[in-house]
Amino acid sequence: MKGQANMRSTVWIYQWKQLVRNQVILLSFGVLMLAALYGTYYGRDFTGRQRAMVAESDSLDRDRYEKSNERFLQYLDKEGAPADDPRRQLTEYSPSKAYFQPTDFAALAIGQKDNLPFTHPRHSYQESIYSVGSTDIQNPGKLLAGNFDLSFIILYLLPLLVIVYGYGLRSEEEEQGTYTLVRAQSDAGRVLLQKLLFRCAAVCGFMAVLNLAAFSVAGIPVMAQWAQKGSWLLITVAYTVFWFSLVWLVASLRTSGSIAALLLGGLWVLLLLLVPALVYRRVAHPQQQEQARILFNQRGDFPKAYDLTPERLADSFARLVHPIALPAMADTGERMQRIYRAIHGSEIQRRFDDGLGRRVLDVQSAEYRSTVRLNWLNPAYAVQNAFSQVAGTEINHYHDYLAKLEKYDRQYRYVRYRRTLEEGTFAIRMDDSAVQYIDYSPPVVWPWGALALILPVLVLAAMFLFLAGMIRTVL
Amino acid sequence: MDSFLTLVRQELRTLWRGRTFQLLVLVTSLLTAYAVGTATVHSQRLAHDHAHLVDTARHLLEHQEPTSAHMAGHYGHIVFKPATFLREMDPGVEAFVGTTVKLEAHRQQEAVFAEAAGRSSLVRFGQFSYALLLQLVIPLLILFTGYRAIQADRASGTLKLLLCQGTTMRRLILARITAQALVFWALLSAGVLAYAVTHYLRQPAEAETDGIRLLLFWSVYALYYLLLVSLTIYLSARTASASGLLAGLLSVWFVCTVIVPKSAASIGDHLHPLPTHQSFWAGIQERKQEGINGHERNNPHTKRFVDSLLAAHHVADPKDLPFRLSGVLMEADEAFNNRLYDEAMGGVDATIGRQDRVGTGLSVIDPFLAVRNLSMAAAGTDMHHHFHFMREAEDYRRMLVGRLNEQDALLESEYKDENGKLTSSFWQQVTDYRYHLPGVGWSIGHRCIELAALLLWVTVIFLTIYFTSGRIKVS
Repeated sequence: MKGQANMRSTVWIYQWKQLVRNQVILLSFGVLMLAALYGTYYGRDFTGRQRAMVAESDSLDRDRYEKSNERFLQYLDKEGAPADDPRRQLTEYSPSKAYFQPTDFAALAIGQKDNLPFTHPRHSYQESIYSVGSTDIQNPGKLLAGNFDLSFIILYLLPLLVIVYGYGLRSEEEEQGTYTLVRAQSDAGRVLLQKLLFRCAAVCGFMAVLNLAAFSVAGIPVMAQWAQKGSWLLITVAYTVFWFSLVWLVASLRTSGSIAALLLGGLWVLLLLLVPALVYRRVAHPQQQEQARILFNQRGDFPKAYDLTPERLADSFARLVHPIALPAMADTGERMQRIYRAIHGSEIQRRFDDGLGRRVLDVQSAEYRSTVRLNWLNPAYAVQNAFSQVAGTEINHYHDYLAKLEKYDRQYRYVRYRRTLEEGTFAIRMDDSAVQYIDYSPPVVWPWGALALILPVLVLAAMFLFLAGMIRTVL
Repeated sequence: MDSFLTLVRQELRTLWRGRTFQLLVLVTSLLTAYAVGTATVHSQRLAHDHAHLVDTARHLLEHQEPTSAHMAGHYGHIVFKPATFLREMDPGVEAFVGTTVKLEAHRQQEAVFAEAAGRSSLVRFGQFSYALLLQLVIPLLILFTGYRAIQADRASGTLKLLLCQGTTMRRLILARITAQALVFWALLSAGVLAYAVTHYLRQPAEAETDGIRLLLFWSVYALYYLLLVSLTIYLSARTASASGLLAGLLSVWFVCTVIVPKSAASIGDHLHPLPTHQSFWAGIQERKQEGINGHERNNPHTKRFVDSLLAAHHVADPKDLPFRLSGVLMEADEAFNNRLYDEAMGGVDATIGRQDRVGTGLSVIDPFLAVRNLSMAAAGTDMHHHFHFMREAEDYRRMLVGRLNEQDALLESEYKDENGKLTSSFWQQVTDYRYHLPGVGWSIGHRCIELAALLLWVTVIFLTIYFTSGRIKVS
């Protein structure tokens, strides 16, 4: 045992000395650090711009609200309404839009944040939250090129660092003529394993420092969001371990250094370029038919609820699941009957409109689930997805945001219906206190959640290590 | 000449006997077959969906309820970007741009339903396509095949023998280049031919017009491969260390294909930021106050316009005009809006152009960028083609709205019923929107710098070989 511990410390000390003297590796570390810092700065700039757009939209919305109030007061003045007219009691500003805001971690993994709309109508009388519209002017060439963010650096450049640092794990001993010595003096396998562990630990340590620096550049508060920070670090470590497991597998083949480098380079191309592209080809299904239905409906091509007879409207309305109980609609007076019809028609129409939107989302969700199921073959996306989950920038977050908004929208409508029915008029002014809207924030990914997300990567790494063990035994 | 051909034949034989080369060619061929097969299925599905949507939109247009020309303008028309077969070879920016445009009076709508907006961040890894294979995988194959082309001879001592027998270094390099280029051109030709045949069997008429684009596509990659083969073989002759050369070539490949395109897009975006969606439309809205508004008769500009009409026709009441005032007002309103939109959109186009020029400029030092842009241009899937589609759609919108305003202005028309509403006879004689790709000359016209850069690279490398190969050391 003592001998083993001695051997371990000797290897680790020697490896450390070799590391600090290896200018190529040190340069690679430096380049990676610079790239990561630039990537983070780039990501922060992106989130900053998107937040500025949200603020601009909110400010325009507020302006519109104030101008509308001004016009309303002018109208009351013109009408000669007295100063104590209750209509002059204006409600607090209530934003007419909801925003899919970027989180702090979005600066590190932009994911789909630049492709997804981030502004939606909130408690609008006419517009469904699924109504079609774009929220940003983008250069398609830029979207195609993608984002130079930290997740990109980790996903694409970290494996190259691992390859440069690890491809000669065994062959360098042979090329320097020291392998025979190592075999004569101790168990060569254990020495190589210690070398691998040191290098893996060195890269993990370096990546931890790099990530901490990136958190700081991204403006993530130092003493907050520990769960996400832990998850992010865990994903990085798992990915590093995954690539070192491949290095170990290739080293076990006992090839020359150049062949080992070629094999690892080939694996890089396969795992980062070919497999994700092939999986994308496999899972992507056209959605245009479903999406176009929204547009046709928005234009008024589908039958409208208001075309139904009052009896059919009342019957269909009664069949709906209502989020809150409404007063009985039993008044047979003409005015109240008109109000009932309007409520029935409006709600049935909105449910239909939202249903079309949700249908598109269902297709997208099914595609996302298929993509995630294939993570067992596609470790690069498993890692990208894990990063995006921490950052709240994946399509499932967008769907959650829309689901939450739709639920809020429905609650709001029902509160309005209830007040309309209670007061017997549509002329009511609603404010946010009626139904509170809380901005969407993606769920916190705890480290154990991150582990579940990167399970395919860890299992694949374990498989490679097992396979390497088998090969070593056979050879 | 005989010795040259002998050298070419000998190189071809050596390549063909190499196990690694055979395996790589087999993998590439399988991937090509997969690309062609999936492209055919995918394109069939898209074409079917597109035809269905176009028919639906046309049916709805023709069978709309008799309505006033003005309301018909608001109802508008929905047009779809056709799914071309060439798109399957190189999808370009297609996944990131909208495919559906609602055309209506008073407002220019953006293209909606970008494929990428409904997908997970897997879309960032790129879709598997023939272009991906040609741009990323085959160049790697070229590097792996060519890096030892001369060095192997030098290491085995056959280089001295060859030179002793009367051949020159220049002839040897050119023969190796010819042999390897022929192999890769054959691979390329097989793939392009497979696409051409499949395309012709499915859509003969379209394939005939796309033939020249396929030829351009082939030529771009043929030039690129000639460049890569020449560069690799020349460097193989010049450098002493094979592994060092391979590492260097792979690093350059990585920087050129992964880092530079992303960085170019990021730098362009940083240097020339686009206006936000809100500010773009707010700017147009603000300027609208400065001109005629067909919906506001009290607008001073509208009043002046109406007064001028009345004066020109020597009448005091708009009812006495020989036409309906509303139609003429709407047309004037449309013309003013179009001018505002063109000016604002011109600014956006100019900014995107400036962003794009960063990539174009960098293509002079990174031939991969040049090839990527030329490939998209040949397939008709770069952003210039998307803007062309949008402009054509906008022209159609203006034509349609113009004709509706004309009908609105007419006191009597063969297309109007007794209530002055447009009947289906009007819609039946309105030609539908059919988008066709612009000519190849137009496509290349936007990519002159890239084409020049690629030609320059090839010329420079051949001049270098011609003038310096005689000075290359034999051992």
